[in-house]
Amino acid sequence: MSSQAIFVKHKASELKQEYDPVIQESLNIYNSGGTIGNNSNKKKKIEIFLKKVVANFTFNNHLEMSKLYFEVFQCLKIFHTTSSNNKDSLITNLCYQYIQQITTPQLISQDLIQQVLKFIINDLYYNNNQYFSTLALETLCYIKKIPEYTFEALKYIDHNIESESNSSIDLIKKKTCIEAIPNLLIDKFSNKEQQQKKKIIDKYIKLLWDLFTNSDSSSIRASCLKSLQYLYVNFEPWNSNLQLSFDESKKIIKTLGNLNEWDKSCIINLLTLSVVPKTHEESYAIIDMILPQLQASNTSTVLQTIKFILYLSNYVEALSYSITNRISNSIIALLHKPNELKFLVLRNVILLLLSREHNNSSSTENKPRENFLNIDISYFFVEFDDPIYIKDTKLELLYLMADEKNISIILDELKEYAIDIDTQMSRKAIRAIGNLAVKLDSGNGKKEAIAVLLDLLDFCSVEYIVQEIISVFKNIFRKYPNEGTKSIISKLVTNYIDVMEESESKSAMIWILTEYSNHLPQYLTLFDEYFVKIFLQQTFEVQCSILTSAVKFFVRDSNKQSEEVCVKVLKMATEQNGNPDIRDKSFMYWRLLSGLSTNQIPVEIVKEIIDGKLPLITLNNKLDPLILEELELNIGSAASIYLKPVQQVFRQNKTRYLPQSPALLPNKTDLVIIHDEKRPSLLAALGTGGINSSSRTGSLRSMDSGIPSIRDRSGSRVGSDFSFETEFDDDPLNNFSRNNSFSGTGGGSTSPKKNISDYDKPVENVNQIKRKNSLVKKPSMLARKLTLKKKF
Amino acid sequence: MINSLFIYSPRGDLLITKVIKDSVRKTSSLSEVFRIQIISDSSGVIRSPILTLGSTTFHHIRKNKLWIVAVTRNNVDSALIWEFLFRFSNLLENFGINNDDSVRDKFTLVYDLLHCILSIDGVPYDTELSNICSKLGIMPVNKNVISGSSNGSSTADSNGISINGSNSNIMNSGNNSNSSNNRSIDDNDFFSSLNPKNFGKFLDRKSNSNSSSNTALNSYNNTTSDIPWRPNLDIKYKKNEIFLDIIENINILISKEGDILKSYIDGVVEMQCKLSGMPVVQLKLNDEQQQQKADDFEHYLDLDMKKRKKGIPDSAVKSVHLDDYKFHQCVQLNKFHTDCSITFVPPDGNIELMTYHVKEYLNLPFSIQPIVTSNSRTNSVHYSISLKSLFSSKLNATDVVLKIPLPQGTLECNSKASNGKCKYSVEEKMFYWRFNKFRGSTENMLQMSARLSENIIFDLNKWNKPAISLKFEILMFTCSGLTVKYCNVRERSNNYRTTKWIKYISKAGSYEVRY
Repeated sequence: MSSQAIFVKHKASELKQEYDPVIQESLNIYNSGGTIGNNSNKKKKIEIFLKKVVANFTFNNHLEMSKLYFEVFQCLKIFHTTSSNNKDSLITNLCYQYIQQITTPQLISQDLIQQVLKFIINDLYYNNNQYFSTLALETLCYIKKIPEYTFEALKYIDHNIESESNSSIDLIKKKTCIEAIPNLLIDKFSNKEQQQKKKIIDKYIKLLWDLFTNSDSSSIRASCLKSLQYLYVNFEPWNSNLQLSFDESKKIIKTLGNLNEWDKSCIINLLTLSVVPKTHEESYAIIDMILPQLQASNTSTVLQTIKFILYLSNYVEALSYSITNRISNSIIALLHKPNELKFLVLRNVILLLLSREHNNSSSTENKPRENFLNIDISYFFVEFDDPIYIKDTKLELLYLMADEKNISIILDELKEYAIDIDTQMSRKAIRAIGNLAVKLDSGNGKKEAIAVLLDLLDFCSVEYIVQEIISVFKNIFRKYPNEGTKSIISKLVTNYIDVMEESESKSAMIWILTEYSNHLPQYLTLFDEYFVKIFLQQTFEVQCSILTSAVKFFVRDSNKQSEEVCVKVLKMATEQNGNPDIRDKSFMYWRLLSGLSTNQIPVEIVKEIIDGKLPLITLNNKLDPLILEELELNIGSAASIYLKPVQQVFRQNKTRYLPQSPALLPNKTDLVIIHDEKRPSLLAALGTGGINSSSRTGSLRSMDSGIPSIRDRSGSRVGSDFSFETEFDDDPLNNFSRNNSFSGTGGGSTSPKKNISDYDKPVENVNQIKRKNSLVKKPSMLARKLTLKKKF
Repeated sequence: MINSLFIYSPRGDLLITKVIKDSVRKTSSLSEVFRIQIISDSSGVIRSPILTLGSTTFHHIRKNKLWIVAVTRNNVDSALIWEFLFRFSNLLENFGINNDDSVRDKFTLVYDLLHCILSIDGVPYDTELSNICSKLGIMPVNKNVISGSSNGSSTADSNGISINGSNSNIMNSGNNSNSSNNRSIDDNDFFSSLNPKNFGKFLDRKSNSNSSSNTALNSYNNTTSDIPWRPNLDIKYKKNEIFLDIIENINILISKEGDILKSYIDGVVEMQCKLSGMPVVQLKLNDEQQQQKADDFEHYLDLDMKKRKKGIPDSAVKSVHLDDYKFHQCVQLNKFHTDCSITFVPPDGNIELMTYHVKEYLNLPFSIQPIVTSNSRTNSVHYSISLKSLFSSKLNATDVVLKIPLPQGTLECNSKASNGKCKYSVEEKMFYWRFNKFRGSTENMLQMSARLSENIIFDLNKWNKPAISLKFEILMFTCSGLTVKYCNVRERSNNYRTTKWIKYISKAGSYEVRY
């Protein structure tokens, strides 16, 4: 039977008709104690029947399939693993699959439910196969609507947890049981009285604590913690995090190595907020112990560890540079993960930049502050095959990381993106350049950014680029009114006034034209020509701009021409326009101007109202420190992607706060990052190199024999440990010159620019281009070929 | 944690629905929501890998064009969810499920798999391939997919890892499959291997190593030392073998002026273990952190100063500075932290043991020097490129391809090369210069001119000039200079001999030059 036929929507009656006879026959054989052969037709048919039923779940066909409950149960009986003759795991599995999804009191008769329950309980206690006993437990847990099921599940769990046996199967069973507890309790007591509810939960909390303190197995302890945390957070009167003492947490961290990666990540996750250091020393001790976990390959473990360290760093006064450097490096190493994870990591880098980076310009102290993160900007250069969400995040990062030192590198890079084929990307890049100009107000940053923009304008006259640049220039002029020199303005306006298509760039153009009209002799003509004439076809924003500008021109310099333009616009806006906002606005202007002409309002006041000085704009990308604090406690979570307070995104989640403790730093920015005197890793590298430099030639020579022996994996290399070690002692692969100069730091953003020519070196063979393309091979070449053949 | 899980076909047909915490009805409506919001909305472009509607969040990935979606409530650990989805998709590939037809074919297996790797609460439970195989009693179809990895770089390159031994001896001998479709979950006998006494105190090698394994097994207490990734002690191989592949991807971006804008290496150490019993492997690399621990620190401080003054070239640096490491879960991180030795009990089969990252002091294998000029008279662009290999002449690079993007409107290319094959692809507007084999320490030249269509006014300065990129692969060469110093396998039994294979490969990640 082909798969296509299985994946078809069926009616229950159809299936019943087709397969009922087979089931009945099998049932008869089963009842008489007979055997159904492994390859018999009946068995195969039943298999297909069940597959069809389960496959139908994906078609939202549950209601229909629930009518086959009895039949499926018969199949389970016949082929169940405990039955002596006909055990078949696939069929049992499929039946359980079905029961898990379908058993609800509304659809299935009470009698049948009881029968199935008996069956499951039998599996729970007497099936020696761990796979099926957990499957049975899982089934009991899934079917929450029927109290008997939950009751039985809890009974089994009690039985299992209290058993003293420590065999491996029991350990796995126990673990499953422990983790099932919160799941069962959550729903069970939704409508029971408080008193009883509290009693039962108290019982389990006590049970879990006992198990946690007494168990030798670290994975059991981990499961206990997970369940406890769940109970504490979700039930009254606690509704808070699990609290762990310093000694307990030390014990947990020490045994992290014995956990599998998922448990590890969950445990580190719950340690944040559960451990509250009382003193700085405690905090330091825990940071030291958790540091190795940064080297795990699981992204979740690493991010949780970073979160935990950041959390603890609120309870210390200073952090060593080596710790922050390790965090930075482990973040970098996460950037080669698949895009989705990379995206998450990049979003968290944004979070860290926002919360932990000190704004150098605003710091009043003279001491240079170390940055918390130390990541080279080149990691955030956009690759052409990055998906959109990564490109956007990287652009944001480049913007955030820009300062006076790296601005020229970043601008060069952004310029490359601006001429990208992807129009969205190039627009965003231009936006970013403009924002950088506004951001870096001291020093050369803004000058360079403006130069790049003007360059781009010369470089390509593609419409969308020009429009984007004009919009960006408006922001720049709003920040630096003096940058609008005559040459720039006349260039921008006269060359590109006819290119504007989008409403944003049109408005920007109108604004520039109005603001710098003194640089443009023909401004009114231009204005009339390009904007007033087509006033009625414009969008709302553009109409607003035109209206405001027309009035401004008139107020500034009342002459015949400006009056004519102004009246024209006001007339169109009031008489022919359908938008009430525009109409009201123009009436308001009109009223103001008529007040002027009748001398009711002094000219100065009108000028002040219409053509007043605009405040300078500033870019504000800072988040509230409280929000940042909360987000830091949620590193790696979904909220860290959105960079919004958790409650804004997920209403049911509680806001997290830093717990109070005498060691808590009053202000996050008080954290000092200390440069260690010794930078062990790097110095050692230099050191080893120094020592060996004299013997270097020796190892170079010996490599001649070294390489070929490793290169082929033929049988000759098979050997004992000893020979292996000696071979690798002289590293044959290291003999390539590394000519780049020392930069001094062990991999930071401070390294000076390297050039490819530093790596250049003379080569042994230079193949020149032949003048003629001759097909005839040289005799020498032929000879070489022949000798090669001989070898083989 | 995970409330439900879906798999969709590339077209958006729902293939798998695993209901974990929600009601069935709610889940089916959610699956519809996702289909409408993401699959039918995205025309090949995914705007974001995460979607939150109300309190429901969809994390999704695409693998082999299948959509794999996890539905969660509230604020969850996204890293965990995505990491899990990638592991899950790798496991599916391990069992030969890589398109919608194979999902339909083996959908029961997918459900079984989910049962094994997710706990009752929807939290990832265990994703180690060897464990799952023994739980389900099935063999992986495709063993080349590294189970422990969630990395984007596909490492299914079996070049050199010829698997000599038979596959079947991974499972213990007592497990005979008696059902038609090679499944044997139903027996007790496979649990005999999970017997309590099989859990050893693996690090305790002083214990009596009698030839009979039974006496040895009885000699430790059976309460501790649970190793989640190697629960099965009875693994037996005729020949103990361990394969280490060190694969480096070098990424370089060079500007017009020759400045190196970006340079780093992503390295990965892949391991295939075919080891019997409970071996402990110790690995030592020439990483400076590992070397430094053994050495006296102060001494080098002086040397360092001297060296900088004298300007001794750092080619003499014998060790490599690895900027970061990430280890497979089996590596004892605490031990690495204290004495910098990579010590672990390996899971059976293929794993990605370690990934690392290097950003300083790279051995660049190639230098590319392009000179590009345009001739307005003939309306053509002229390229003169020299490609130099900077590694030892004893080595060869293979599959060297230089890709040169040409401007729109290129009609034809005339090229002369000192070696290699030239090809111009009209559709891609790309010129390829290929070498099957490129010797070390060799320079090759290419002269190429592209003639443009007459009606295009070409200005070199106004062309956005996509970067020239290079692809290559070099065997037995590492761009970082990383080497394995030694690799030691120990086991309790006396006559434990291991054969070790090491391979180094350097590949181009994105090796790009602007001009």
